[in-house]
Amino acid sequence: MEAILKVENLAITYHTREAKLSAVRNVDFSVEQGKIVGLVGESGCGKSSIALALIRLLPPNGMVSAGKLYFQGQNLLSLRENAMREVRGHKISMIFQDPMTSLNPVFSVEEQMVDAILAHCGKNQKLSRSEARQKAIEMLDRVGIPDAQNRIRDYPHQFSGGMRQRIMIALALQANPALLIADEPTSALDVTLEAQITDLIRSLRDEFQTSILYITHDLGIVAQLCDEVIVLYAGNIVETGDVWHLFKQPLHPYTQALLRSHPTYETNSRFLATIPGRVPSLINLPVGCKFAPRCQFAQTICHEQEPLEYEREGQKVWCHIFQPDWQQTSEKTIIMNESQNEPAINLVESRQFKDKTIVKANRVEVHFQENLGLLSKILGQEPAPLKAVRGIDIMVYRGETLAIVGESGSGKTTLGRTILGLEEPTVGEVNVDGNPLTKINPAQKRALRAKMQMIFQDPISSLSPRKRVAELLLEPFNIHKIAVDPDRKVSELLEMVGLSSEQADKYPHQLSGGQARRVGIARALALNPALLVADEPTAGLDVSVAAGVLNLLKELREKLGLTYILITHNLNVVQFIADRVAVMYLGKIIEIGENEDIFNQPKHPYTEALISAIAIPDPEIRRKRKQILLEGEIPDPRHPPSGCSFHPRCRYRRERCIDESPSFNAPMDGRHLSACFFSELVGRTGDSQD
Amino acid sequence: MLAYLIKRFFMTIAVLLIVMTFLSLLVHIVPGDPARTLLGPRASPELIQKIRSAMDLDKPAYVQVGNFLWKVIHGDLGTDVFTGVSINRLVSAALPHTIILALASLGLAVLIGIPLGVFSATHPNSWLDRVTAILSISLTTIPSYVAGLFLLLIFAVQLKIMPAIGLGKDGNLKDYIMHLILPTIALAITWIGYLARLVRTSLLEVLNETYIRAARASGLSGRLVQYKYALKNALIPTVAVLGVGLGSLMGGAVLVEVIFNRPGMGTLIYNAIKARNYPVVRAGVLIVACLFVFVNFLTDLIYTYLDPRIQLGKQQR
Repeated sequence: MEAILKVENLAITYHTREAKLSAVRNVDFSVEQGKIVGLVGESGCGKSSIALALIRLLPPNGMVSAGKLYFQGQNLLSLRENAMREVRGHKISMIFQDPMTSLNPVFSVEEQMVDAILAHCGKNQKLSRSEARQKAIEMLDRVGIPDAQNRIRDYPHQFSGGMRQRIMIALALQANPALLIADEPTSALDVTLEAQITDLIRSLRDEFQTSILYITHDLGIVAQLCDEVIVLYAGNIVETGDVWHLFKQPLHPYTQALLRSHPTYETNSRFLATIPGRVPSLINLPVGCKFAPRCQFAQTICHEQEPLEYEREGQKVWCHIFQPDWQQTSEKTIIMNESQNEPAINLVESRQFKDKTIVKANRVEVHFQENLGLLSKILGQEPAPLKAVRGIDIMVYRGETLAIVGESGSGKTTLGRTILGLEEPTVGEVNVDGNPLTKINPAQKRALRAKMQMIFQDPISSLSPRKRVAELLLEPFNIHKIAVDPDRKVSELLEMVGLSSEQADKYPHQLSGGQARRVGIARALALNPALLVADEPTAGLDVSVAAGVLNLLKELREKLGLTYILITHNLNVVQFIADRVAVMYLGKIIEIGENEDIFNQPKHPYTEALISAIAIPDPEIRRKRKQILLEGEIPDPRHPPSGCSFHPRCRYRRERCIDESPSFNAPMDGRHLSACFFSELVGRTGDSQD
Repeated sequence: MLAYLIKRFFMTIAVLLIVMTFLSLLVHIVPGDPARTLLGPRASPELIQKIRSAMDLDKPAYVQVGNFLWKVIHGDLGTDVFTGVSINRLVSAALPHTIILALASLGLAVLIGIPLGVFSATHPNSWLDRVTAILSISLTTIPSYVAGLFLLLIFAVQLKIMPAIGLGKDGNLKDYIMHLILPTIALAITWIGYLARLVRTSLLEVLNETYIRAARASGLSGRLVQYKYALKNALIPTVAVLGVGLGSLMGGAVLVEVIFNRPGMGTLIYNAIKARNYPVVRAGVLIVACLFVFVNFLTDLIYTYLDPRIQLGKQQR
């Protein structure tokens, strides 16, 4: 096989006022024709720098300080800027992480695509604007934009996130490039859209034989999509190999740890393996192996010398363990074992909680009405209210962890906020600990608030930037006028969430994502609440850091007997920590049941599709399992479809689903229920229908 | 769009009503009776009474405002009580000079300020960027009346290469333009610096956006990316400032017109205030307020062209 791209000894340096930062060092790899190569690593490992170096668009303070980039036999670094521009978008294209920001908001899709097409067709073939437009429409059609002929005139904001990413892909592939660089193309998208986009990328590869360099932090996607994998750590490649070998037998301690920190169903009764510490800052890179400070096998030599390459059956690893002079001192096995040493946790009495309820929601609906001007009201231009939550009955039992699962726009966060009394239900009522939230007086409400707390989605922005950690932690006591010994309380809380007491004097921006999340948890725990609502507790965190946060949540639950309502779209997290799962779609719960039942025998077509899209870092399971691709996207919640809201995307739908709305015909008492007329068909006839 | 226009129309009327009410009240707040102040201590009570009723001063404030607006709707701004000249004529003689001055200054500010800002943003930290930074901050801090006086002293009095005051000879376009140059510069000077800084900041911000990187990654030329893809985004905040800015440009025009003795709206209102000629003041301010509202309306329209996400009359999500 011929290598389209060959990177030799690449090094990238950033110049800042203080220092020269070495972001990428000694990187060698190649991408062969028609292959998908995954570039994996946590944030700050240099993945995006490598991608930008390949198209020579590093920011002004960054430069390639060593190495060669051979693309189709030509060193890209020796090209003049004009020649390089011919390569960009023509021979090497790139799609970016966030489709919301990678299209220019003030130009129509047509304008942007036609400009891009004309940028390359100017010299050889004269192409008129209308011909270019025709080509753009064909490309949009190919990536699945419905009604491309007309929609091409629309502006980016008129498309949903999934559609925008499709447009980005159309834009990148219009010139049929030899190499496509995809920088986390799905990490800003919902699960069902992620499945659609990865499927699209694969089918385009099959069709055009495009080589793809796929950058991601998600090992599940790599397992599903890639042929080869490159694992990066702090700017060095630590391991490369073919996807089957690498996942079956990861050799580098970092790869092993990364795979083990991935939450799955098997880890439900255990803690996750975590990697102590974090990716080193570029200002202060360790000498020798960059992973050594976090490595459980590290010996003196690791801290002194760079590791050399070791090759085994095409799999390459850079680790001292595989060198002949390695001292086999510990009894620890270096090859990943099925049962690792994460301690099992003592489960509370088989985790049955059906005796006491702590939260009870009755027919709750939450509507949002846009704030209209007086004149619009007089003219009667009142739009339909946005019904974020459309009739939910739910009980949460004391001590359990209930996961509310759904994609964006499903109303899960609104439901969580309503349970905490942060949002007032338009219809229905929420009872917490026997107190109806809408009927109690403010003093009672204040007392009740102390018993229920929220862990907010964005860890940094939910902490006031002008307060130190200690002040942030003491704030709940000031609000509720509780006298405490400040120093003792702060160190107690910090210890509880696994932070050292030095953190007390820091401001939020000085904390890492994981630390900020822990401070958020400590703040929520300050008043000894009984109920915690955690909104996407691992969003934006790297796998190894997220593992630590999840372990902490689990540990605190056992130690303090907390009840959790976990709001997330991440089913891996749900499998790891939840007792019960409620799946939401367009403001309604469509399925609810025990964790095990939901994942083993889903009874709603939507749940079934969600579960089939779970990222499992194991290429064998992942590719054997048939993934159910849902068509289309979540409809506008302002205008939900008739009958069963899911029917337009459902592969089991019948006549009846279009007119009649299914509901639970049984009280929600903790049984496994599904709001589907044909729930007995789900999962059985699934594979025969297409 | 129609709903927006209706809304805008009602808002305009509300704004004008408030301005007019305020002005009528002002007449009462200023110490002394306007008619008496006007006519001097030896005026006969009959004459005072006559002037008072000619100025509607003997009626309650709301009647004054009502009467005035009623006439305005019928296209009559009233009469100058001293000279008996129709105010319509005074305004139509003065207004063009002010609009020309304001537009010329705005044009000059845009023509120099925006390219200066673009250059600074595309060559950050170059020596020209630094010079521009110092220059534009210094320019921003010079009030138009100071600039006006100095320009007069240097170019008209010392160097004698520019005409000093007035509009120039009647019907001589070249002379008119020569007389326009110094006031235009005086009025524009603050805005050149301000625009340059504003454009630089917002363009630098836009150039860091992912969509700019994406446009480069699809092989577009640097110039196309900078001037088309980035500048249109960067101009959105600039237009917002310009809309409000034209209002303060009108304010600045008053002083500049007085300094350069140009018979524009500024001079008209200034002289009327000095003479306590309230009908003229009132009409003048009404015209300026109308212009201000109209300019803001135009700004909104330009907005929708620059940013398709903004839809007039619709709530933003």
